[in-house]
Amino acid sequence: MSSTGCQHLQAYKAAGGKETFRIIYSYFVACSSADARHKKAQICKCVVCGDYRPRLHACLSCIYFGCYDKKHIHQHAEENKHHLAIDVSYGIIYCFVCGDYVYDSELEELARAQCHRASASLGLKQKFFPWEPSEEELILLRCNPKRRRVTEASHIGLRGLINLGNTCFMNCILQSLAHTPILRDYFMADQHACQATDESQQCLVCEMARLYQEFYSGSRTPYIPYRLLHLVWTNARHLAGYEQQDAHEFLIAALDVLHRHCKEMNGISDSNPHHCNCIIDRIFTGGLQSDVTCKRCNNVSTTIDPIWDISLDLGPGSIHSSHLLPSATAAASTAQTPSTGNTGANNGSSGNSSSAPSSLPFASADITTHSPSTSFTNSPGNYEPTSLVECLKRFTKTEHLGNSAKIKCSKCHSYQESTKQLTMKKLPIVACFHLKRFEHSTGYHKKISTFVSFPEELDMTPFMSSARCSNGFNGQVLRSRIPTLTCDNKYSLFAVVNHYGTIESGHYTCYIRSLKEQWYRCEDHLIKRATAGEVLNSEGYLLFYHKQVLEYD
Amino acid sequence: MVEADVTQSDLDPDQKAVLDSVIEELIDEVSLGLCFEIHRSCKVGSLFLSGFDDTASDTEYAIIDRPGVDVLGQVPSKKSYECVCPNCQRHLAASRFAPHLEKCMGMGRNSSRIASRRIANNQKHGSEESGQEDENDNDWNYAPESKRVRKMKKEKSTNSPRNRRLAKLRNGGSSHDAAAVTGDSAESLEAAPNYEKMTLEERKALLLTSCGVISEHTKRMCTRTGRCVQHSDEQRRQVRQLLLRQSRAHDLEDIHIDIDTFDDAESQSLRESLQWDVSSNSSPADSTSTNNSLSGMPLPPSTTASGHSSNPSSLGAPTTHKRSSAKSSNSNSKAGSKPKKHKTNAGKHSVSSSSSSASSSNKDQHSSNLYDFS
Amino acid sequence: MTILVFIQSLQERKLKDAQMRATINQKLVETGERERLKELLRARLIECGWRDELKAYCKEIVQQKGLEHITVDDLVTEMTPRGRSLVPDEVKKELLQRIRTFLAQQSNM
Repeated sequence: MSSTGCQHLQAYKAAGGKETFRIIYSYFVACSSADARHKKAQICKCVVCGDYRPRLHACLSCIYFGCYDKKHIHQHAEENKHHLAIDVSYGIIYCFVCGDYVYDSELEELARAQCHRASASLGLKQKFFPWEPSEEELILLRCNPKRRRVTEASHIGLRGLINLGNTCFMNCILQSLAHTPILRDYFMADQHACQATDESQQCLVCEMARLYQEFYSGSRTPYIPYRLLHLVWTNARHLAGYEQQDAHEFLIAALDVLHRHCKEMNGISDSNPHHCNCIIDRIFTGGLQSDVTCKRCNNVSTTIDPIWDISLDLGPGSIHSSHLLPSATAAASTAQTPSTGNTGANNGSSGNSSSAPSSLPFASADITTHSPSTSFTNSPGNYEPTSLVECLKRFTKTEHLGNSAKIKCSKCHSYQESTKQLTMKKLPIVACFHLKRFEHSTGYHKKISTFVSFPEELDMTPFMSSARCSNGFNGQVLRSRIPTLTCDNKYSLFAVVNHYGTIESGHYTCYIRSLKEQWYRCEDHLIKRATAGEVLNSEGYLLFYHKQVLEYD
Repeated sequence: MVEADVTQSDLDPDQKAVLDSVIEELIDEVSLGLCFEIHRSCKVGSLFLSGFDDTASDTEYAIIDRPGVDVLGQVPSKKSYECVCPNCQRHLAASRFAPHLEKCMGMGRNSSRIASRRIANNQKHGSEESGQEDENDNDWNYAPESKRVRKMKKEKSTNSPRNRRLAKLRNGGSSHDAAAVTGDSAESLEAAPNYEKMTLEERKALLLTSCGVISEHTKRMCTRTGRCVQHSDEQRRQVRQLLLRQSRAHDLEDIHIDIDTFDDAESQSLRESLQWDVSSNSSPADSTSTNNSLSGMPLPPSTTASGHSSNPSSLGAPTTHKRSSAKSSNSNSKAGSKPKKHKTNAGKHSVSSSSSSASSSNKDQHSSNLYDFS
Repeated sequence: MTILVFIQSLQERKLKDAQMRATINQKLVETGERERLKELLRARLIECGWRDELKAYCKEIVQQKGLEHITVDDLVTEMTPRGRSLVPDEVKKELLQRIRTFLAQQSNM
């Protein structure tokens, strides 16, 4: 959108004022060097008041500083016929002839470039400039004054999904994704520019974009996601097949397919596939930090792995590991493999550690616990977490890797016992928690139907790497003292996937949030009103949280 | 002199008053910014005060609160919706689309059974015959030669049931399918023989496209991608070492590693793993065992450590980069931030030496192939 | 007599305050801390809903005065007092703490 200020500003620009503007801007409005800041601190004072005043202006003709409040800049303008002055705090130009502030696109562009330099010089995040409609878009907006809006009374954004034959697992994930605010905004803003134009029928990302269009079209009839199913199956063959599937597995596979597509679309080179900037990675990827501390020299080795979701153990068991006496495992370990990761080690294990379909790095590491001979230790008993926060506490608790899992310390250069702790290094914008309700243990499979409470608002600060206690032996000491003034690590619940039935057969439904306090229950093609209380009392399987505050980068 | 005043007393009421006025100034300035913003949008014409036609949305898009129907006015009973199969263009009822598509794409349960029989046959009849086929089937995501990629397109469009079979080794929430396929009700054994029966090529193919970590409880392989976030690179590396040892035995002499590119820690752990490779040739635990092959498998001691300290061969492509950057910032173990990582994995033994670069690029190839013929 | 002394001391204090203010301001600007504080404040005011509320109010004013005739001064007159009153105390406290920490650091240098 272009704006050309007033005729007086145009005349000023024509007389070569652009350069003056740029200099004044870079010295007194947005300083990009220590020298400029120093000058600003010395000089930016109202000539009359002799003091720094709010709404200080600089004359664009002679760099006279005068305040606006006491009309000292007005005085100067009138006396000298210098009609233009610039506001020192925001760099907006005032025209004394027109009696108002004026805007000029060309100067604004100069100003923005300088603002970027200024933020960079202070190590601040780049200033965010909100989206502005272009000339063309403005015309379109004016011609089409009708806007569809998600309100309490409207069903915009809600749509049922036809079950294509045991595809409720997919419908739940699609509903959750469709109501993921930032993902929706991405697709509704038409941000996916498909490179494969002739093959867009084959692009899953395009198909997702269509899904959002369909959801917000205002149509009342259920949507048939058959093309989506076809594309997911062709792209993730291990999911294909007419059978009941795990919603979590589907979610991860769907994210992976989307991620792979986006990566291709963005033409990210194979040489550096890790720095993916695709929408999926930007939204879902968090960083899980693992700190392994050598018990002998306290050397900490840290690794950070990208994660798309956090899988949490439910049953009793894993907690033993943190209380193991190191010697207790010796007998067991000799009978078994020296070091096994999670692949062996626990043939004789009783039903501890509810390692569900997907065993986490966490679950995999507590190999010392799996031998029955070690479970006598003074553990707090069969501790079963009953809330999401408890699950997360357990997830981020320091555990002692026992004698059988000695790790080579890079400092001692020998194999030592160590402790391990997982924390969140980087939080994703959308945090997906997977409660491992499906237990696969030797000899039996069962579903854990324990009620696990989860909050509507979740603060992840205690589980951050920054909250980690440096000695590594009691990671929870510092947690209570973290100030929670900021919303930085706070999340809001926006979708919950529930599973009903047994491990063999069951049904998935989900709850989604459209507006604050406004919940709906989606069961295939039916959408019904729900209350927050109902949601929070449900047997959650997948919990989707959205960051409350987003930072632009 | 003023400076001394400012800093000496934290509780100086004068100072408090001055600071309050500074804060007030800041608040006013932020308010001013908002005023400018609104004023600007008025002037350039991008401010829409009454753009929303709420009356229309109230009626046209109103939520329905009536018993017997949902908020969109849909009744619980399923109406019959139709869709067109993207695969065969046939019209069919939407509620039967998934079972249709399964057959249509040739991955039904019956075809799985056929596949499992075929795999069993291959196993019996030795490796020559199956090797031939497997090359056609699976080399596209294994071998770097590109001529096979084209071959694959033809093969793949017929959708070899074997791939489906491999995919069946899933670690999913629904357990019955695997049992149905193997026809083996003894659950503890149901999945274990499957990767045992596979030929090396099949294992390679499988491990290139999937995470492959074997669950300690279910004894099933994780069939997520190599980027799977549930398992660590270390676990993936171990399972690869475990399942691909045969190949190492044959091809060890071909491994070409430029030791100079490592620093001490890396080369040490590499040497350890190489040593282990050599010794494992004579390991009694072999894929011929029908039992759970996982117990009693010697794994190099270094592997446990390497996940956290310095391992040159971490397979999971996406992790390596992030990990190293993080390390350089906050870890006191200095090994690990190695830009040269990819070099270590050069050569065609990317599978067993678990190369991040090779596997990821192959994966890309994989998905682009799918594009071409699907 | 005593009143004179009182007035005198009051003036002195005023002068001292003004000097203190000027010094603090100068330090804040010189180090770039003022920009940082402004960014922090901006972020906090967005987080707590201050901005949304004030913006809605701003639009009301525009509607009252008319889109064509609205001036920045109109908006500032209405918005400044309301803006001040709507800032949560915790935000002010956080800012105060940060400035104090900053000044303490400065004096140690």
